[in-house]
Amino acid sequence: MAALTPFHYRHGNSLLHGLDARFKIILMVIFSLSLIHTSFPGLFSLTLLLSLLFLHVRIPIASLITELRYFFILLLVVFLLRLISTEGDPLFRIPWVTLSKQGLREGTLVCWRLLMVVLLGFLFISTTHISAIKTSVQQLLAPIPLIPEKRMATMMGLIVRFIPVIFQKTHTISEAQKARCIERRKNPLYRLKALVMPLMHGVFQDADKLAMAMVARCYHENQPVETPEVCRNDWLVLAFGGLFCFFLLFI
Amino acid sequence: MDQLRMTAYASLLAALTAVGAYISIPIGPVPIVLQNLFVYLSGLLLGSRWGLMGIAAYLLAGAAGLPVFAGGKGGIGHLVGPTGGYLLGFLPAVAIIGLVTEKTGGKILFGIGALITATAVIYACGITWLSIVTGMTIVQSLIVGMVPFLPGDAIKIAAALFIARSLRPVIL
Repeated sequence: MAALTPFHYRHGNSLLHGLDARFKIILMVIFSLSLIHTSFPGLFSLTLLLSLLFLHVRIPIASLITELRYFFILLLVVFLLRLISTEGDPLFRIPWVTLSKQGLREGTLVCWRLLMVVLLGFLFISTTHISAIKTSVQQLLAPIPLIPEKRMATMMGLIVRFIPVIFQKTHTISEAQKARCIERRKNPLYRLKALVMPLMHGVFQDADKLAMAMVARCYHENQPVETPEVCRNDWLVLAFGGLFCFFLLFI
Repeated sequence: MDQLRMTAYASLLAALTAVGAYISIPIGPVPIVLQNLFVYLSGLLLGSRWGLMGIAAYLLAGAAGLPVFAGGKGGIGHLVGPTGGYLLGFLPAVAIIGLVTEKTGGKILFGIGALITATAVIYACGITWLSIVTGMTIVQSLIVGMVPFLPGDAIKIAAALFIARSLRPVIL
């Protein structure tokens, strides 16, 4: 899976790696929410903070940029639409469209905020192991009624387990069909059907086997979870994060 | 046993939804993805309760930062981002498809109706959200966020009905 997605855990020894995953999730939520109302000075200070953190965690910046390239296209489109559609003092005119100062300002603001939100997520996922995310989600959901938090945590674990299985199966089936000269069939619908139908049947059989294996191993939902100790560092970082968000909202 | 098997199926469809999101073609602010094909299938195959559970687990996994959303992204930020409305719209959509399938026993015409309604619900959530977050007007949002995807959606609806019909005898 790591080869397929830019967003994955990187082993490390930084302050963020050592932090309790529950605290990181809470911090990510309050930062994302306060970003909705942040303007330029706040965005600037947050960018500064995030750059320091990225340097501290040692994420290679070049790989970050290549991995986010599709996201940059999206940002560019949003920026251009904002620029064209906002009315205000004209900056310069091309026939048909007027580019305004307000449009430039609004476009930059919106794109900067979206970029910050994505970078926050990137920072979180590269410093938190999947098993830690799973247990902390279960613990955070526990006080909310009507949500079966243990089953949700199990399902999250299963989702992560199934994704590479699906990719593997797709690869196997497409190789098998190639060996049977599927590429000589001109009809794309036929070729698609020859790939999708065995794939779906195969993965559902896998899910069946998995359920059987879980029953055989006496799986039940009320298995105990290991809770990591909350240390002083966690509270300190949370307090700092909270203050920082407060600061973001009021400058 | 039955409960565990349904848990496994629901997780599998959620994982398929995640895989469908990886295969994304970036056109405009909303990439074309196979996600909703598997959302339709969750409703058609699992019914409202387990379908909802699967999609909720998918969204939760994404919100908690696992890389399951379009382009391999994750994080609560993505749910608040421009495409967040579509993702949240999956929940009522899968509930509608599941309910209709349960009540009518998977008749094809009702299936088509349910899938079209579900698609409309997904777009209603998605477009409203898109226009709030990016500040575009509703018409602009419709043009970038809905019109280019309608032909693809028609194909996805047909495919979902076809796959569901072939899989139902196997899994139930």
